[in-house]
Amino acid sequence: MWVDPAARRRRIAAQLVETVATWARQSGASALVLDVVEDNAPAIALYDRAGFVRFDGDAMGKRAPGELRFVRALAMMPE
Amino acid sequence: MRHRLSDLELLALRDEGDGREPLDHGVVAASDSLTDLVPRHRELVVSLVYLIETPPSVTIDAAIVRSEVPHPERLRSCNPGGWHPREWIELLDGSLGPWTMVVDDRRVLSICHTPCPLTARAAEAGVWTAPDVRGRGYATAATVEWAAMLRPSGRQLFYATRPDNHSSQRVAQRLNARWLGWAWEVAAAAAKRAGNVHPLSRAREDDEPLIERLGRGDGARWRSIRLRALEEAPHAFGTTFAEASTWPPERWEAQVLEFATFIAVVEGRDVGVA
Repeated sequence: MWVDPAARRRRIAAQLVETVATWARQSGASALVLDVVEDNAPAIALYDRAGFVRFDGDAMGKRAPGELRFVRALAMMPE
Repeated sequence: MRHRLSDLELLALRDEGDGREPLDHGVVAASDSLTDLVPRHRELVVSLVYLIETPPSVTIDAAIVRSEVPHPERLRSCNPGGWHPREWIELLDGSLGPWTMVVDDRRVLSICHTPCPLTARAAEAGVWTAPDVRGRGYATAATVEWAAMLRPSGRQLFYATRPDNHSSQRVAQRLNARWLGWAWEVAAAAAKRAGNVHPLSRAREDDEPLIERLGRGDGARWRSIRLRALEEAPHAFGTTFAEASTWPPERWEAQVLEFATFIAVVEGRDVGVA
C-alpha cells in the first residue's frame, strides 16, 4: 500500500483500503490481515481509522521482525 | 442533484394533493409540452411528494442500525454498490446526514438516508433496498426508524419518488405518508451530472480518484508505481528498490495476474496502490 506524497491527505489510501475490503468480501474472505513496520505512524493511524485492530502473535503466518500485524473482520456482525 | 424541498418549493407544487395515493399519472403527460420550455442540458424531473406524519410500527426479521449510535466498523466493507467509495465512507461517518440501515449478518439490505442537505425545517428521506429482498418491509422499517430519529428535531419529514417507481410508492403507502402533490424541477441533465454524487460530499470531479484493478498487460504499470513506492519509502516494504529494479518484465506481469492489485488514478496519473 502506497500513495504518492503529492496526493496524500485526500482519503485516497482510505478508498484503496475500502476497495480491497469490498473485493475481499466478495471473494469470500472473512478478514483482512496486514503487517506494517512499527515506526510507520501515518500508516498505523490509517489502518486504525479504517477499522483494523492489533493482532499480536503469528497465528496467520510469521511476522517479520519490527512489524506489527493488524486485522479487520469482514463479516458484518460479530459471530 | 435534486433540489431540496424547502417550504417555498412546496408552494410551487403544481397540483394540490388530497392526501390519497394518486390513481393515475395522467398529469405527467403534461410534462411533454413543458419539455419544450426546458433549456438545453437541463431536464424536467417530476416527483410525487409525500409527508411522513404518523408512521406505523413495523416488525422485520433483521437488525436496524442508525447513524447516531456507534455502528459496526465492518459496515465499511459493505458498500452495496451505487455509492462511490469515498461517499460510502462519508455516509458512515455522518458527513452526509442522518441515515438508518437494515442489515443482516452479511450485508446491508436497505438504506434510508438524507439525500439533500437538512434545512432548519425539513428533511427528505431517500430509500434503497437490495433487489433480491424487496417486498419484505425493510425499506418501510428503515424509513420509520429514520423518521423516529428526526422527529424530535421538529422538522417536516418528506418522502419523494418518481412516478414510475411503483415499489417506492408502495413504501409511501405502508408509511401512511400523506401525498402532497407533484414536484416539478428543472435539473441538470443526467448526462451532465458526475454520476450520483451526494450534494454534501466533498468529492469534486477534478480530483476524484478513479480506482481500478490491474490486469493482463499491466505489468509495466505495476513495476512503475512499485519502484516509485520503494524509492520514496525504502523501509516500508519487504523488498528494496535495488532488488526490484532488476526483475524482468515477466515477473511483474506474473504478479499482476497472481495478486489483486488496485491503483488510484488522479487526472490520468497513477498515485496510489494497494
